[in-house]
Amino acid sequence: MTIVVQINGVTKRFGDHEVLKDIHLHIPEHTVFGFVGANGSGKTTLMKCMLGLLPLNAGSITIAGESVTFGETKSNQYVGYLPDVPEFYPFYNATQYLELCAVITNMTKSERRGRIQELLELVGLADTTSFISTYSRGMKQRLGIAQALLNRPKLLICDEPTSALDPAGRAQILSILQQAKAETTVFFSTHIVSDAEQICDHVAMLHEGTIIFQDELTNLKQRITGEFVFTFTIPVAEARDRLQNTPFEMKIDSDQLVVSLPDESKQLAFMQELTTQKILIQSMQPKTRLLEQLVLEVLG
Amino acid sequence: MNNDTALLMEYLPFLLPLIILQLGLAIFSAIHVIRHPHYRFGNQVMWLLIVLLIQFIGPLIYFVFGRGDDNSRAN
Amino acid sequence: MNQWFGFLKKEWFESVKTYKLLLVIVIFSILGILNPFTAKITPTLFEQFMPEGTFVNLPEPTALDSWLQFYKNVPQMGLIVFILLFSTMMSKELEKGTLVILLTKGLHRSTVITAKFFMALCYWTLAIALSFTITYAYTAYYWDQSQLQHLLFAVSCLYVFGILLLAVTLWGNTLFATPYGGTLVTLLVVIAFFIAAIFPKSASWNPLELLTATTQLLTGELTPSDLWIPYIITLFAAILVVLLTMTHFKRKLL
Repeated sequence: MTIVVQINGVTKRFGDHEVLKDIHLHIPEHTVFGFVGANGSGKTTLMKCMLGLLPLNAGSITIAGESVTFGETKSNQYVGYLPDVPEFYPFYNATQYLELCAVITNMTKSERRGRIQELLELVGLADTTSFISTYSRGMKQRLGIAQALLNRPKLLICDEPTSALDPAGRAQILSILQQAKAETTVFFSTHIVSDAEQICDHVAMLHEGTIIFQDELTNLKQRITGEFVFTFTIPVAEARDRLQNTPFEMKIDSDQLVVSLPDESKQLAFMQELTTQKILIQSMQPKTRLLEQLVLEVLG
Repeated sequence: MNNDTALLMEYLPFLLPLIILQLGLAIFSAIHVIRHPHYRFGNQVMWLLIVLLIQFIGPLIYFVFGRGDDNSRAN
Repeated sequence: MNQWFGFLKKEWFESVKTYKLLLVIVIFSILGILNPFTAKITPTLFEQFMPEGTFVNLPEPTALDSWLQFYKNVPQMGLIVFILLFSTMMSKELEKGTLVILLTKGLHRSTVITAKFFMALCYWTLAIALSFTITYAYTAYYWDQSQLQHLLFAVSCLYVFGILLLAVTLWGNTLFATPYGGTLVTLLVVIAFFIAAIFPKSASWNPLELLTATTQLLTGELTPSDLWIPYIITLFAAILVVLLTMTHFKRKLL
């Protein structure tokens, strides 16, 4: 797999305050890379460094083979960026704004129209002709993605794209990002763990300026899952009592039974047990809040 | 009285365009103040007074510093 | 180049949408009419408001009076209006962060500065041309202008001085990134010129000379060749300040 972004030993200080401490990060192509961390942990700073908007104190960043220099725009031709609160010119409508962006990226006239139409359809703004000044936050966020994808970047950087949105808007953005994976690599930051869980292939976690965790989501799942959440047609306490003498680790969590079943044989055995006990399953799902757990584990 | 009318007629080539421009700008600005009730600071009455009473500097101050962006709408 | 024109087009569109075009046209037309009007009405007003029986011998106004009004009103009111109008051209974008996206799309930082400066320059040209033409037309209609010398050169002095102030405003506005930064820096620079003007020797280079010498140019007491040093200095200073703004903006954190 090709690596799009290489971040080697990046350190960034604001005065005496060290915001990023010796960050190493490699982002493979055509993945959705989730960058998780609490507010103020340095996510935005790292992104700005990747865009050449901030000078580094140490280390280097390479994007698509081009090294990033502060104040220069050379590496930015491979990058699309969506700031946390994207600001547009309120006197334009979406098409006009994207046309300005297209001119700035030196896109040819013949290419422009088709691409803009395609992107407006992707983000669901094709039927909107009103000025940007009348847009809601979700619409601005979607226009921001369209703008970022305009020049077919190798890397799409999104800074907290979902944090200011309601659940519907959030779901929309996540689905757009997932579709974007087909033609680019998505690097997005969030403090909402479940968002990262939904669409990421890789996850890195930033805490107090250092990467405390970095792996593929599937590996991560294997590492901690094995816990399943059950609900039954009978009250959960009764089910637990009936399963009391079985060798499974169980606990009750908000009216659901959480059972630790680390491998397939255990899972089959548990199913058999349920059948012999004549307990009917109403729902069963793997425990998904794993990143939240992980955050707690790491911080705890 | 006759004298005054003659005087007025004499200065009409100046007064007419001056009045049209000044009044036009003041009225245009006042309408804008009323129709876009979002200001960076101050309130509607203050801006109306500024726009209507201070000749051409009033509208200027309003459009450059006082006019709020339309996107200050609630989300 | 495409990028430059693209951004310039945005600047133009924005200036129209934020009523700058309207304000420049209306205000500088008013100023243009006001000059001959004030020149013509002053003696009449004196007659009207002098106590009965007082005899004042006021000379009939001439074309020179009309132009004196021009060189009083446009450098004062006109320049102030203009600087105020364009005092937020950088800070507005920097405060809101509208440039961040465009810069990360590969927009050159120097393009931002030069396009903005060029747009403001176009507006300044329009403003001066408008009030000059209007004052000229009225003055030509009411008086004989044949006695006046160097009309065009005199107005170009004012124009060049305006360019310098515009450059200074852009620089101050970029440096402080607040709406008041630009105006404040410009004010300080003008005050510095005035302080320098206290020393008579400074007349040989002080850009302010371009404004104070206009009357003598019109009467023929001074010729353009007397002013070429402040003229060139002002032009060079303007270019220098724009270059300074460019290098400064390149290192600016957004």
